[in-house]
Amino acid sequence: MQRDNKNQSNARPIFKSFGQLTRTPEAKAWEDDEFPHRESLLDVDRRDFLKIAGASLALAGTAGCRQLIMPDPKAVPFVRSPDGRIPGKATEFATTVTLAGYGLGVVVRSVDGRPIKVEGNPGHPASLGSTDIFAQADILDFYDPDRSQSVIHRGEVVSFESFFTYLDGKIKGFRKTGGAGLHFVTEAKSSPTFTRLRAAVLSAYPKAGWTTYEPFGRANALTGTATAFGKEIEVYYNLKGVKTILSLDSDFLTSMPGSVRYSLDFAESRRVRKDSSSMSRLYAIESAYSVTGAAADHRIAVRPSALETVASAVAAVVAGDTAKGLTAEETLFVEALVADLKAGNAVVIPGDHTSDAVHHYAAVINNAIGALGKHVFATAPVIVDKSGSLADVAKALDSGAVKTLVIIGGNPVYNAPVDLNFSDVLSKFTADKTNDAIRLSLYEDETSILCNWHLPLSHELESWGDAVAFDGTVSLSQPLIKPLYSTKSEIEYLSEFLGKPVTGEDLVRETYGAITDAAWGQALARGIIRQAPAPIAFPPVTAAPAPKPANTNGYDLQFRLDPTIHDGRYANNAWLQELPKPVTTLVWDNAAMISTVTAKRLGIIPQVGESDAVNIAQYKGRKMVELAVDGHVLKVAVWILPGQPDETITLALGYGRTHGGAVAKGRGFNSYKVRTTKNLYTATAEAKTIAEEYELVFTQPHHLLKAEFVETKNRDIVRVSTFDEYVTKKGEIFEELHHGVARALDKPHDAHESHEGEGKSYPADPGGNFRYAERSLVNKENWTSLYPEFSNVGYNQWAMTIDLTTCIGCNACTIACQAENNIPVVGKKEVARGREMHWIRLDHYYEGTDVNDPISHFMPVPCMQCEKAPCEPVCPVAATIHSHEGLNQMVYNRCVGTRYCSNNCPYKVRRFNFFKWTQGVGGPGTLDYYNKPQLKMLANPQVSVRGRGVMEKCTYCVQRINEVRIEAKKDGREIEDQQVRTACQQACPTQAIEFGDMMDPTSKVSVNKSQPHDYGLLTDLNTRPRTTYLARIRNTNSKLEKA
Amino acid sequence: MPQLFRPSSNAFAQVTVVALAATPLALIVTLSQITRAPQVTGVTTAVEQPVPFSHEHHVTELGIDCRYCHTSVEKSAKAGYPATHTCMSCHSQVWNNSPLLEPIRESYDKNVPIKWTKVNKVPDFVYFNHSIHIKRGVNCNNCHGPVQAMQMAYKGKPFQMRWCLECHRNPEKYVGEPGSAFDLYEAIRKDPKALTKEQQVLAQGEQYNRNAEELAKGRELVKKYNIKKEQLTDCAVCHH
Repeated sequence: MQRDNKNQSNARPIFKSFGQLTRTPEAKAWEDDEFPHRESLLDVDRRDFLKIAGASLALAGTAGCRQLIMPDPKAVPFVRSPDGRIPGKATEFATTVTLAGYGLGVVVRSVDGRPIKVEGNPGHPASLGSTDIFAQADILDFYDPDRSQSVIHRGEVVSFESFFTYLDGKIKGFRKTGGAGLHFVTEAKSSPTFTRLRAAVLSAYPKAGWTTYEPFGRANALTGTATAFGKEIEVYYNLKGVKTILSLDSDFLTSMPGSVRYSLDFAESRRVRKDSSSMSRLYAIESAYSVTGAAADHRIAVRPSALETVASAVAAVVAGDTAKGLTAEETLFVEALVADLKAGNAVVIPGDHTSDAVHHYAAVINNAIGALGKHVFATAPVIVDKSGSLADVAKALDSGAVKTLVIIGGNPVYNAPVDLNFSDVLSKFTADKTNDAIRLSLYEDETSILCNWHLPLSHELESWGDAVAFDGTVSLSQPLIKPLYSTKSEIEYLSEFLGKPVTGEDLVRETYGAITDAAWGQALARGIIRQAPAPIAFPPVTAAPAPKPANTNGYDLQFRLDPTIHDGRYANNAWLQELPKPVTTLVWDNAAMISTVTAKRLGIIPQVGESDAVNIAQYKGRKMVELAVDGHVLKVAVWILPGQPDETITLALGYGRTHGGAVAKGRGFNSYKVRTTKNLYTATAEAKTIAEEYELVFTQPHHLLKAEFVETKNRDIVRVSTFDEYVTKKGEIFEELHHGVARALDKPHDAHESHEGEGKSYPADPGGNFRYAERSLVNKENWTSLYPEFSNVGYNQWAMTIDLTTCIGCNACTIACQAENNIPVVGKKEVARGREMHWIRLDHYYEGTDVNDPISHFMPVPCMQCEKAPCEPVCPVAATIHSHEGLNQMVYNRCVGTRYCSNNCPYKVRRFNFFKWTQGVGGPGTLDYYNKPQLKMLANPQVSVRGRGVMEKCTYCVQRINEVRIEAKKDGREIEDQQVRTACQQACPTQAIEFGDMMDPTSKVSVNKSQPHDYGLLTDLNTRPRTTYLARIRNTNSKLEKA
Repeated sequence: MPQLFRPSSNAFAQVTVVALAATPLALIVTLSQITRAPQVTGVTTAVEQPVPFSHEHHVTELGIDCRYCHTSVEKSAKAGYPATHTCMSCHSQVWNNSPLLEPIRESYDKNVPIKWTKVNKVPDFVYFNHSIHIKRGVNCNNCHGPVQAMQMAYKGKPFQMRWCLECHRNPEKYVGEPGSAFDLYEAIRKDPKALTKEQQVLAQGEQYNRNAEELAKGRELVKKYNIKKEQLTDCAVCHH
């Protein structure tokens, strides 16, 4: 890097890795090479080289013999073809997936009977057509070869019949005793059918008990609103038309029920276009660096125990009082923010995990600023049953009050508070042969192995069900396929407990009373059976209590959901494990997040000497600390996270699994080991550095782009401006960087004669004019090229824009792309070598000189589909060439694996199959990960599965383009805007990605490309990238703007 | 001392020199011819099937339309194989005791699908779409050989890429009137002697060379269909 990548408006450096900022040789290597630290050919012995070369030449000939040795392929048609099934045609079914009980309406694409891709249901209020990473990755969970497939009784596989014989005997007993000694423990469920069956079971066995345990639910939100309003209500938000949002430690953009919807409404309020006159402003008061904090215009980090003080100060200032107990910086922040809150159209969103009091303050503030009923709404609690606690269950198990324990879902042995000693209690319980513990679950996990009966559950995508969304909408789940193994769903098992087994569909249908077949069919087609009820009116808000003082000794330890594997339920999902976690970009592990100040105090980095930036750059993520909470101890690797509050250690839950699948096992650290009943979300901990080491892997330093400054041309990779500047300059925020170059779009195309196509008009064919330069949406500078122009007359010209203002860095695009394009996972070791395969990666940049308070920018980077692609001329076998629609095509069957193309790609978007990833070799720790029949069913049949030695990259989802084009051609029409949607675009919760034909001036993508703040990446290389970016516009408050 | 090399050595040396140059060439030519030979490509080799189904009998003698069994050929990328049910819709009445049809009845009774051996197959990295080709009036025989005359199904063409490209480069030589893809079989059944020249050649499973007038008509069709010729040879049209 010759020059710091500067934000032109205020000259703060923008950098991806700290190594880049401090110019370490390591960062230089990553900048120069997509795959640094390679073996040199010169290191190979000459004789070995000749031997290998000779052998490959000889063996290459045998490839032609394939037809002689391969068995004849078979075609197996139906005996009786199902109605409406067309071979090879995808069909879509509406269904629902749940996370911690809350439903998200989705549409699942199914080809020849196999579900292959999850998309959002445009008619469902929680989705509106988008999805999050979990919904996208559910399809891998469904095909997970590690899922439990059989009934296990005391460690031995037995038949279903033997369980039902046993259960029949039990039921007879329960009938007599009224269910005395029977107790159910379930995870959070919103399903009306499940609730109905629970009531039926409890009325059949009146003495039976029932407990719902969810390790990281919305319990605090419910109790908080209960104290504020006098009754338990489920609060949800409507961010339409919002002007100011205050996030009180809430990650409402990715980890709340309704996040997908919140993200979209939030993005709508911030979609800056040429004539925009308003933009919403987000303030975040956070105790950890979340995606929401990264999206915020202003963010302060406070330690978790100080959150109540800050929240009560905000409430006080809103009420006209003065802020108490704040630092000068915090007071300034609070005063500026309250002025905005009071200006109207504002809302305060507290995090689900924050204390009751914080929720109470939020209710008070929302009431004072008039947000209740406008942006804040209430419905009946979605998770109905909260009776009893797991501690009571543990006591009852110990005392012998419970003789038969049924655990449905969840994983209490792994995720119960550590002080309950649930694993000891349960093993003691089952050691007594007169007791029975029955477990229903997807995996044979930590809890299953301690229960004497384990029964396999069906996955949501293969069973009937229903679920309630964040706003009370009830939607249906329908099976996409018969269960892969002989499994049953929760509701089917519950009906077994009632002694009269009924099929899943009948169970669900019964819940909705007398419903006609036609109405039922319609509800299934739409996915929704009951629209959201009218919101409940808020009762008057009670006065808030005084805040608890902040912790002054020890460290604040806080527990958070892992951004990718949640509370551990997705631990066996290889896609989510390998997905770089937002902000930290860690993969395959969790770690204790600390600030530089805390790191110094713990001796992780030197106290004196180098600057913090150098220290972070040199920290390799190997050191470990020992945390102690009330005598419970956890050894955990340390990660230095700029922007983390001091004296605060953040631990993500969900790692350190010992059972439950080969992918999950033995990764990261089990944070539940220091989580106690008293301190479910925050604790005071002692910490000390230990000598042990652990290797963490993160992708932040990979794929560094070279940002050299060339004369007056702007090569800034991430371009940032403020909304004020945008409005003042009418969007021309880069104008000064293009001296004397008229913007292409200001001038019409009348230099060319117009060409009459079928219903469309295009500028005339430049006629292969060598060095012809055409102003276009991707060549605004009107530069000439040495490469010949290709004819684009009469063809759709595909292009993409990515809006950096609305991109929140949630990673949904990356997972959607992985599912659509059969992208393999490579495992932690290979990620460390920069070999991750994601076609669209999410680069994370820091801005600012203050390492402890940086600004974050996210930048999704797919293939730029350059019009003058540097990869094309260097390919010796023409395996990557241009199509007439402007796609940079990658032809796998031609590729011989020279990697010249990736070497020549300035954007580092090409991915190479170093191993047989797709056949398992080199996969995540297990050598045959993909070599399982189930995972072969997962592959999208429209995309070739790539083998070893083949280059691959983003294709703009060319299989989707072809499908739409063929249908359009068959109907004799043109492709309309938005008919082709790429996987990333379709999944994006904020609709930051737009795709379409840039020759059509009315297409959304053309409109975006005509925006004054549209720019291409490294355009001075004259690559003319078809993918361009809309600069990040932040709506900063001038009162808080730092120099 | 006698001469070390006798005059005949000259001839020997000359032959050796020529052979040295010719052998690799001959080897290449031989090998490439072997890979293109019907014995290797399977073209014209009848494939054994669980039931000896005759396309000739069903198509030419009985006049059953292709789409009666290959139901999705106009709608989907795949032409589709008939379900056992389709066979039984006739064979529950006709030839319902034939021992040759035992596998069909067994499949229907036991609800176990029949495993046909695939005759025509493209590699996994090739995405061929039947429906668009049918829509463009391309007759089945262009790719599948004389299907209506096959006693036992066999591969009609080797499906090598240069063969695909022959049409993708010159669509005017092959496209037909809209909806004409299946006309040939109807024509053969009505009056085999009244076939056009093109139909006669197609009925043999051969490639017909259109004359100037027919080519002009083909070009008109290409224009009418809005076929963008250059795009047909874009890699991603078939490979993705």
